[in-house]
Amino acid sequence: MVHVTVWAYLDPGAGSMALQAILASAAGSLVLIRLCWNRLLVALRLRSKVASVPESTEVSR
Amino acid sequence: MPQSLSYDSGSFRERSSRVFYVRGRVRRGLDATALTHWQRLETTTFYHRFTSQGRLVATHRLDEPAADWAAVLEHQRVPVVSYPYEWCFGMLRDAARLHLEVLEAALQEGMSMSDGSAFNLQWCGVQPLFIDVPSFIRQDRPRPWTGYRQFCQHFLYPLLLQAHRQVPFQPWLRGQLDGLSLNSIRPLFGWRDVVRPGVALHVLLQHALQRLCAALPRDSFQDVAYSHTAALKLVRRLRRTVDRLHWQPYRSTWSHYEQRLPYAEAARQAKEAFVWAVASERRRSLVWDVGCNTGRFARLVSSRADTVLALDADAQAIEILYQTLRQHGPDNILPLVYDVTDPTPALGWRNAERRTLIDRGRPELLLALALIHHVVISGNIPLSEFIDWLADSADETVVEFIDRTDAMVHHLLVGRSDIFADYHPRLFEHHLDRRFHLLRREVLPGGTRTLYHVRSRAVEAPL
Repeated sequence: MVHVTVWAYLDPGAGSMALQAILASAAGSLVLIRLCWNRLLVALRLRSKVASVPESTEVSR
Repeated sequence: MPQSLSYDSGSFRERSSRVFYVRGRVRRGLDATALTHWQRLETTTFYHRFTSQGRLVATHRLDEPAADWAAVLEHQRVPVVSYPYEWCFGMLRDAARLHLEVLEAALQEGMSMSDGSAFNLQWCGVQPLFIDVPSFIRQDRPRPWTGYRQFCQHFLYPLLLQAHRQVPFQPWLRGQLDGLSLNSIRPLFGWRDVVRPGVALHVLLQHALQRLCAALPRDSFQDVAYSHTAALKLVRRLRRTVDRLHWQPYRSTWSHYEQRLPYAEAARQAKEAFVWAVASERRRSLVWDVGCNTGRFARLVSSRADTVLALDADAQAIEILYQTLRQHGPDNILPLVYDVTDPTPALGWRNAERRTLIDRGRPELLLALALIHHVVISGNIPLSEFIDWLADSADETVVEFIDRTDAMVHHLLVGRSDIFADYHPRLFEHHLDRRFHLLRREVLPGGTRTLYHVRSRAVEAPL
């Protein structure tokens, strides 16, 4: 996937980007579920840190 | 960045373009990147459509470059710059609608917008105008809207605050130049508010996601593919939300002033004749009607002025005036929420990013009708200070002095210890003479109100 720099002086905010991603499709919601799962694993000390969104994750068009 | 030009003190956040002034003309330098976006914008149909409708600022590219900029644009000049915290609810909502309408049109032609700032909109009368041309950017592929959070902070949250909680947004926006943050608005809404337009998605869910994603790297969602349809859906969803937000002005002190306390018809007619005689002398570029209430006198002088600012501290009176002007005109009156005893200050970076109103548009003529008792008695401003403010604000003034025997002044003094020894017609005329030449004086029928047309001693008489 091509990395595109955000062309703006703004910090869009992770929350607002996440909201747009999950509104986009069910696949976006899957990203959110995986985030929650990762946080749960961290909370249960089964994982050392919160993982970022995998690069291969795509929201279907 | 080129330094030799006279740059606008509020135009610096976006490094790739900047506004400057040349002999009163508004110009904008573009770097090479911004130029490619402008070249793309010029080829779109929506740009020409919105420009011809007077909803997008008229712009053309100049042949000669300036300093180190790759290109220079020249923009149509806005009559008077105003800020979102001077607008009423209806104005902020209509500005939000235009912003979203322009964004939707841009998305349909392969462009997007880099931000969602309310400062990107200005007014020609009561017609909103989108002015920030470099906001339009080419998109190689559909992406989430980077300006969404800023749009919420500048438009949606202030509108929600007023529509759902009846809290005036102006003081909040004035206190936070980048708008109402999600963290500041979230405690005002709970899960019982999910049925209210805009709350569930844009406040509660977004706040939950913000907390959930707080520990993530900032670019976590940057490479998540996004569809054109999803981008359009978000904008249409926002448009529907904004359309469903309403606020009905209730009876404030001033919004129904004329119906509640009508003064004698003969006095009203004499007052209108006096103001019309002043307005008719010559056409003026800018007139302020301070304490405009229903805008009766702003309307009266509007045919003899390029622009009239109708100013009142009461947001509800301004809301009613705005809606009336939208329906019936005229189109050269800009209504603004403005309190002379607590005026819009210079704000932002170095106190120069957002300027005072007098700095944005000094009037040739100022109307201060039925204002003095509110400033001197309710506002506790010494009479001499009030006269000094008039003289410093405009070359010419029409000011009304209202005697203590008038019912309105009496009403203000009831229940208060009378510390206003300076509120006296002789002292008023003494201070007036100190700063002004008297051009005309007339006692209105009823005998409690006197009108003065005066010219500041600091200026020469017009030819």
